[in-house]
Amino acid sequence: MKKKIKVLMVGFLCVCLMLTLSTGCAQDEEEAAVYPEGPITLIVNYGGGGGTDLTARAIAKAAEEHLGVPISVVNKTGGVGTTGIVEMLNKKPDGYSVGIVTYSPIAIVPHQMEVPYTPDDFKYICAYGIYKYGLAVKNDSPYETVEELIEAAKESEKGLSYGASGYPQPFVYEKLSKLEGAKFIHIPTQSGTETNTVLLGGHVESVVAIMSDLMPFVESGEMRILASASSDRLDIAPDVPTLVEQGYGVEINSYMGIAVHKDVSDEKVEVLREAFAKAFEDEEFQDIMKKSKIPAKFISGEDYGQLCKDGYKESEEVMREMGVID
Amino acid sequence: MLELLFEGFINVLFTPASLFALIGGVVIGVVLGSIPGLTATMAIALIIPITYYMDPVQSLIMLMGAYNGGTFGGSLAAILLGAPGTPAAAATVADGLGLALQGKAGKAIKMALSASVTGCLFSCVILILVAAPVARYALKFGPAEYTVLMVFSLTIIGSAAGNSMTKGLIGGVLGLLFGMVGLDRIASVPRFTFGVIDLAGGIDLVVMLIGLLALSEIFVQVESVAGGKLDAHLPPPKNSEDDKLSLKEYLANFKTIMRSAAIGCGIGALPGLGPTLASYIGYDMAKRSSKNRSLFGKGALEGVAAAESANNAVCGANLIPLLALGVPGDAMAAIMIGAFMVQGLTPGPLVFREAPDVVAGLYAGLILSNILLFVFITFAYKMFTRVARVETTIIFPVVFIFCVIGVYALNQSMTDLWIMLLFAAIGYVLTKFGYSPATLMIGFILSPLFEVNLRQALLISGSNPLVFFSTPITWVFWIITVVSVYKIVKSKKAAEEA
Amino acid sequence: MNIKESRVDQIGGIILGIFSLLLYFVIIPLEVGDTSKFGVSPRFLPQILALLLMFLSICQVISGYKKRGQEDQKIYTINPNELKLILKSLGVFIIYIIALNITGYLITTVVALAVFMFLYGQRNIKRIVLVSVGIPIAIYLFFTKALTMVLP
Repeated sequence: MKKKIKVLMVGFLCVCLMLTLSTGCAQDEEEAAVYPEGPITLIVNYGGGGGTDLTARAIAKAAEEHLGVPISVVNKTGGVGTTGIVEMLNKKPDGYSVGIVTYSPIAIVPHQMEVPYTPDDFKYICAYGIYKYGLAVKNDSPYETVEELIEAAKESEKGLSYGASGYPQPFVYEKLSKLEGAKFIHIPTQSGTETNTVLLGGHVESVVAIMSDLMPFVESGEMRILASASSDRLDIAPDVPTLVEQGYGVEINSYMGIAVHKDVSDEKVEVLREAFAKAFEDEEFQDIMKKSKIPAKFISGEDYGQLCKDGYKESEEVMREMGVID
Repeated sequence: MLELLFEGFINVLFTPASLFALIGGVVIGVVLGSIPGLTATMAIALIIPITYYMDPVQSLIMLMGAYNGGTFGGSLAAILLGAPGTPAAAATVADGLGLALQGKAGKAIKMALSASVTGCLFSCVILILVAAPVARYALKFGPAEYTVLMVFSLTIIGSAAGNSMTKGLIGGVLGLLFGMVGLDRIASVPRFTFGVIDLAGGIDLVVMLIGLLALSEIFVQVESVAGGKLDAHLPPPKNSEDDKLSLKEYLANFKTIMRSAAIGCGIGALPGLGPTLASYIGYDMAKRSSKNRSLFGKGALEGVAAAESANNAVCGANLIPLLALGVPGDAMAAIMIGAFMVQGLTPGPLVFREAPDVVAGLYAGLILSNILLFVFITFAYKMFTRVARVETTIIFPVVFIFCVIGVYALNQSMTDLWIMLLFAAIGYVLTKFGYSPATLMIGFILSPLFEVNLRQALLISGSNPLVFFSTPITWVFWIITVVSVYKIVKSKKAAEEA
Repeated sequence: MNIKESRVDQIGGIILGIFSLLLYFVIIPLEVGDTSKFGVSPRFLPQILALLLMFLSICQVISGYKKRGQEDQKIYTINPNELKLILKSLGVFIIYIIALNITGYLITTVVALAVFMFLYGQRNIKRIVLVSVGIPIAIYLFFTKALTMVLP
């Protein structure tokens, strides 16, 4: 009986090995001039059902038409958005593995933990969505403007607390307190939802958050927007100026984009860029973006790459000043 | 409101598409929930893409049906295999399997079913009648209040410790430590990640559950195979009584069920806690106030009722903050926000004005999902028990495969499979030598909740520990905590003297 | 093999004690970042837990020592056959997970399922083939068609 098991196990291993060899050989043969001729895999670095996943699937579906091959979408969650990106980089750079590369895991997370890449390891296809950030208080808050908030923070002994989940959100207050000498205390929250909850419960004085998270509460009148923390004004509050317009010279932005390994040939990258640029115009995709409350914005591959590289350097500086990294 | 609700019922019952969506949701939920490795969340992921093509009411009730069905379905695997199908069923395992091994699987399932349905219906009533005030009150829970609530929850580790307090506490401490793996949730620096980037997001609850409680439990049971026992996994019922749940038995546990339902409602209404914690607290409270304490963990019907009522009560209750404020009660409710938005609706107070018919339909669907669940299981439970009577040589390998594929599918991560296997080994060794995987699990769940809130509260207060005594809510939980610790110490002393 | 509870307590206590020392003096300083930016350091709670674990392990050693002469101790049995079976199961698991990446889902799972069933004493070839082929295909269809998920 023991022997039988051993034989079985060895057999199992042998079968596995043989199959590896055979599949390995088959793959080497396919290197053709036409691109793309087979299905493309799009690796999404966040889980199914979320905003990133939803919009990624929509743009992939639209791009299928222009590429003429199916795109299968795979979610690789974990590592705060970095696992999916590493997964994409680990695949053969043959242009058949494309990754959703969002801004934060490229420009910010590498400063918090070790990751096996830098922004220079990619060729960027495009960015298709932009996260806008807003600075908000509860409707019964005594602060009507950013200026009042800063004045109060200056006078307060222990400082005013603010809620923010993840990065780059806290950069806003960090720069404000440095510019104005006001004291703000960062209360890190676990999600955009928790940021809303602590503000609505009155446990923090203000928050800075992604607009799509704040929107419902601004619409219902439970929160007030004091400023747009991004480079443009917000659609929901077109009268509220940005922080830059208010004279504070602070802005944060974050993007959703697509990239491939840097060793993918330029011709293939060009094909992908063209296809996704066309896919961006697709009506169904635009509709999904609208419903997800993520502003659609097309940024070319070169520009997105530059944004990531600049953001990478800038966030390192800011985070060093903040004292969150050494 | 009542009129609207009535219309909602009519709408759901007499629109074939709606009724079909609801039935489909419940069935998919139960089936996926009952297979260890596949979870209610997976059922939701399966349904979400379909909902794009449905009207709002249909999509929402299908999701709610799947969630309710999935939360119950987890208990089927817990009872029949001793391996919880979903995290929320973890507290059901000990008593559920205990009953099943006595041939009372049918009775245990029916108890779980009645308790689940009662719990969920209770939370529906709360949701419909007093959602707004309850949600407003829940907002008063800030980091300080949550911290004290977690201090109380930590006492569950003590009372779940079993024979040896030291061994139980060791499990709890290890669980708390495992819960800290990943990027620090406050300062974003890596902790215990050993350079593995897949660990940056921490250990997934489901991966932990499948390894520590499901696989390891099967390993323990596999031993019977080595002992030469090759027959069916579960004994057949000894008599027809064992397969039934009498009204008397239900009523005898009614107090327990209602207590758990209330606990589940409270936990569900507080954003961020979830059904697993609810069922542990519900179970613990039932154990403490029961006359038959010694039966708990070995096959107490009361234990099954307590855990199952509490976790299904969360299904309705997590809609309380979602609908009243737009803040989801747990991970599942967060997915619901997405489903609302795809339909062009925003959950929150506005939805009552914008689409009262959708809200009414959702209420009606949630209530009907319980009735459907009851009918479905009453007819189909024999099928599930029959599966559990298949030979162990078939059922264990098949469950193994489901665990591996289910865990892989969760994040499509190979690392998760290794973590699962590691915890299966840890769980096996712990069980083998009288340590407690259950307390490890409780510690693991509480770890982030306790630590994050503690540190947030200290940040807000400028490191002033008095913040934990600053509001009436904190005092109430301190008092409950002190009473709880006193009771644990007293009962341990009594157990030692006996 | 039988182990008395007093031994389990003592050995378990010593192992955990060593682990807690390792945790406090090696693992935490190496693997947990330190920053004072957010009040309580990320190291603070892990350190407290390590100390708590140390205390509990000492309690265990002491309680094991106290129990050592007692007659009515709980006995933990380890049957060598059982242990072998568990280790073999773990071995198959490890090979299965490694092979999953190499040979793909379907074949690996069919083989693994058959091996598991054989390992646990199923000798009815018809059943082995039926289950080990049928179930993986059903899972495969469910995941790829219904969940549109990609299996390795």
